[in-house]
Amino acid sequence: MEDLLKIEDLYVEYRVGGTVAKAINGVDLTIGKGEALGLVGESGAGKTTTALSVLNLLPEKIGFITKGKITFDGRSVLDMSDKEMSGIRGSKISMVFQNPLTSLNPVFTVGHQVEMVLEHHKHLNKKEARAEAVKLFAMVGIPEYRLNDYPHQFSGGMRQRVGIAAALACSPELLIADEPTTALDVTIQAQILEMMKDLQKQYSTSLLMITHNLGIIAELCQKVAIMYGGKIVEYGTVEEVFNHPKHWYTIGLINAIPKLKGERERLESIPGLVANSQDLPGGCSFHPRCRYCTEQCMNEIPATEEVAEGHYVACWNRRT
Amino acid sequence: MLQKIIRRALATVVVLIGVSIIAFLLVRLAPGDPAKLMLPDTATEETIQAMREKMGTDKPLFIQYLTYMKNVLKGDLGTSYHYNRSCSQLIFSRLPSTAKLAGFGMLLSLCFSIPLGMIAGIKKGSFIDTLSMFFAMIGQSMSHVWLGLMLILIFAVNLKWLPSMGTGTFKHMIMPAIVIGFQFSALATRMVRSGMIDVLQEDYITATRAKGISKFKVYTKYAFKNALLPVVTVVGSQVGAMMSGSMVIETVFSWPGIGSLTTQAIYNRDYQLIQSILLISATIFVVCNLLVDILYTFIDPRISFN
Amino acid sequence: MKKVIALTLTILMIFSLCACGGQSQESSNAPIVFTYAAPESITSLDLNNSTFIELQSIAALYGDAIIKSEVDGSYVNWLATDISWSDDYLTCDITLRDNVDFSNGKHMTAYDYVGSVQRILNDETLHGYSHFTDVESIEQTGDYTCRVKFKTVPVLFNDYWKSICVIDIDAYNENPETFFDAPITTGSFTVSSFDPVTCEIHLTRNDSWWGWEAFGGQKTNVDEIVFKCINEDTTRVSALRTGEIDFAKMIPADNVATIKGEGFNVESFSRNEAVYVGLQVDGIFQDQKIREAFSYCINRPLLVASVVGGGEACTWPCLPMNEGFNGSVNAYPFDLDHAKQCLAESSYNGEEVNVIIATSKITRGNEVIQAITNMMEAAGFKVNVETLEFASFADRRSAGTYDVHISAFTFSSSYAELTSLIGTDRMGTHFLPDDLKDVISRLTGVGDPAKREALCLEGLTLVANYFDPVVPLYQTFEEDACKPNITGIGYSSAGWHDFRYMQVGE
Repeated sequence: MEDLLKIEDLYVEYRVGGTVAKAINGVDLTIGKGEALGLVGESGAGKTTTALSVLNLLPEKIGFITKGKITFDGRSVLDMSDKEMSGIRGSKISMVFQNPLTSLNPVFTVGHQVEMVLEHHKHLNKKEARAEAVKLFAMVGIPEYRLNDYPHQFSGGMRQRVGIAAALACSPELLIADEPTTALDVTIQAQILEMMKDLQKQYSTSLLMITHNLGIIAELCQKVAIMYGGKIVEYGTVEEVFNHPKHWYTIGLINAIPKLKGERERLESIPGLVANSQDLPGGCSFHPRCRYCTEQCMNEIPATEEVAEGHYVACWNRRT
Repeated sequence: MLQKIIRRALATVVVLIGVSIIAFLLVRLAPGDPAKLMLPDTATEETIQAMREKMGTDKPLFIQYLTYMKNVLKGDLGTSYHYNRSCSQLIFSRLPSTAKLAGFGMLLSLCFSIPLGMIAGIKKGSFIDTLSMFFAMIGQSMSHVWLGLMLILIFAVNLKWLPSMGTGTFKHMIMPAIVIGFQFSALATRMVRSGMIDVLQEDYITATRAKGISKFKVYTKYAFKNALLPVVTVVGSQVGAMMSGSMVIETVFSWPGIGSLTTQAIYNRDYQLIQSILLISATIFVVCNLLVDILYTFIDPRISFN
Repeated sequence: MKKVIALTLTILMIFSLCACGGQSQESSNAPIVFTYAAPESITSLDLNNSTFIELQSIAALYGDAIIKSEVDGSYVNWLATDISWSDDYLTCDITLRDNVDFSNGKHMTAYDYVGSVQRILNDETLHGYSHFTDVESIEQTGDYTCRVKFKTVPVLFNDYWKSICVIDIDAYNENPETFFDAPITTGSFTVSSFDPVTCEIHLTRNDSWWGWEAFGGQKTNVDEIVFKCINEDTTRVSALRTGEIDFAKMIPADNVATIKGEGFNVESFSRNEAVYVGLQVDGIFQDQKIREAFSYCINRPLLVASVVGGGEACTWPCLPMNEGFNGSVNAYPFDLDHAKQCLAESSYNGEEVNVIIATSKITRGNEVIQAITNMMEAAGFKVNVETLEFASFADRRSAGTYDVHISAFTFSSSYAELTSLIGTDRMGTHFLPDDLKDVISRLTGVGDPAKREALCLEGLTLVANYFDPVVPLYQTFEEDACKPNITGIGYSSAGWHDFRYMQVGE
């Protein structure tokens, strides 16, 4: 399978005031055409930063890509001019944002917020854009008469659908979904996911699904990458990683899922707090929380090794 | 919506009645007898008393107020004894000048401060930002008189580009309009700047950029409208205030507006003129605010007219 | 696209507005226009209904009265060829000229003059009405003659009747409300436009004025006079410097050097106004010694020289041009030792003296009151000063709630000063001793000028000796600036100007 997106050895820092936060510390990722990759991690792991880096939309004067290469469809993203990137954003690579409340502009109609993508990339006039928008809204299940309403007149679920409609307007090759259902309740979550699955199949769009919910990954994705402290600690197919997890963080995550069947057991949790990107521990970022920590873990950053076909782990003392 | 406007209009009437009572009482509280002020120092007590009777200031306060309000409802704003003309003629002949100045001053002020505030907000921390904040500080602390006189000295006396006083041509309006809008433009720059900074941090701006929209369009269309919302409300009350004229600016530039009329009326204790000016000014102020409130509902769809 | 069009249109609109309304350059045969400015917002051209000083200059141009006061204060017959009085001074026969025409072509007769006077007699709402309440009747007795009957002797006949200019009374009666916006009169200049909002007045020269020949002066070569109102001193000076005006009335003393340096002519002259003091005798100043101490401790020449920068120290309770002036004695010398001695001998026990002053009426009022306070304290007075806005000041003054009040007063006539001001205790000093009262009652209604002069002298001598109710400090002065190529302007100490004979050179 061809690679659509390739991230190589990416390092990203946030500099605010005098402090430096090392958000991403050497990430390697690939997504093939038509492939869905899940990116898992707790809040603060660096998932959204990865997504914004792909679009080169890190906040100006605060976020800096200090090292690495991002290749999309054979071209280097970081070397492109702003004008070239504008052509790619929204049409070849689209993003659905986490918070439907704040990711829509409150003073413009929802219709306009979808039409603007069509007018900008497909150069449609107002009437054509309106017709096209109606179709997109129908696809996500919003009736036509609501096109002239404003975001505050919609519920969270509906708003997120608007976001999805805007993201799919130009049939992107890669769709980045940054925790699209985190802010929604479970039933709506299910609807949105169903819809995304259908659309992905229909248009064979590649998907980068960012979430901390392992269940969603299992539903939607073929590959999964587990992220901690700005590094990918485990990577492989969903079956492989979920059935044979090797990194203790992954194991902890899987064990933390409550079971419906079987004996009633105490809910396991991973001790300690998420690593602070402003003050990362030396060696393996996970070592303060790991039961199986060794001397080497504390001092040397683990190397990524292939433990089975296509299954990579970065851990000195991984499970055997 | 119409029903709400009508309700608002009725509330306005109550406000204006309150204003008329306060104006009526305040002006009479100040020491000074208008009849005596009108006549020369050598006038006799009988003459002064005759003048009081002519002006109606010898009648009880209640009667004076009712007579005045009765006339106002008929459309007669009273007579100015000092100018020996009807108040409506005096006020409405000078109101257009004040309105012109207020309008042009506000226009200049916004044309200058909105772009400056936007650039300062977008390029926060840069040289332009520092410059605009410096300008804002100066603007809010500078005296109108000093600014006016300095402008006259530089542009009229030394450079001879603009006339120093009076009305007539468009050139006459430039310097007074700059002075009248100066303080407000300092405030507006700060508001636009902070509005811009706040808006640019919002998720929807990143989302709009993620759709491929160019930076320029994002700033001037999608961020702009949101950043401007707080400024709109302030503009309304500021225009209302400008419409009551500025005594200082009108005196310095010999601009025939109602600001200098108000001051003269107060010095002369011209009761009916003062009351009528205050009533008209209050009406304009309230109407301006009402218009802005209505305008706001069209700009920000989240707000309904309430 | 729409936005681009809108923007272009806006820019075009602005440019077109700039273009229109500018002054076009005139050729060398252009009419000579004289533009001048004073700090007075003249809102009506009716001289009998206002108190503006500069309006007197303008009325002198557009209107003719039976008598005129010249700039030196003397009176000449003007529209009248003869004014004769009965022995009891209660009847006056006026003979008018027969060669006078109005600006609309109508010939002037006594009918118009009688009508002009009756207009004032019948209209109580006019400011000047109270000056003519002593008129019993006025009747036309011939084409150019009329007779006026008075109820009491009109002592101030000249002062008051010089302000009644003859108007086309029929035209007035057709449109009384708007007549004075463009009055139809007989003067050397005609009002061509008047804007009561901006207070701008345009006058054009009347070449067929009867007076160009009758008075012999060289007719002015100015075709049009424009009056503008500029209240702010600095703006007025700036307008002069930019060339927008040719003449500026009342230049503040600070600007005189700059103006002179730029080549303008500055005329300095004394005004018929003096800054004076009134002492309240119901309080501290009941004791004459204390009043004397006050007068002696004020160094008037120093005030004039150093604080105000011009004018004359007063030596008598009236001005040199008034009746009853005694030039051979200085009633108000400065002697600090004498003042201290008077104060010591008196019943003054260090009480606080309450001084009220209307600083808006006095040039450099703040500096003046500071100087006076220092002078009083040097003599041993304890001083508490209140600077008041004029309306509040007037209230306090007539109520008498002060120890010392300081203001400025126009000394146009000693008769008025004694009978109206002092005789009626207008200033609230509560001071009117019997001998003074007696002189004033003998003075009232005296028609014979010589007798009046003697009685005024007697009354004023008492006022000087009593150091109350009027203790003048200094006579004020005024400085006007004009372009160097303009000559022949007459300056009156009453503050108005005679523009009839001015010549504008190259």
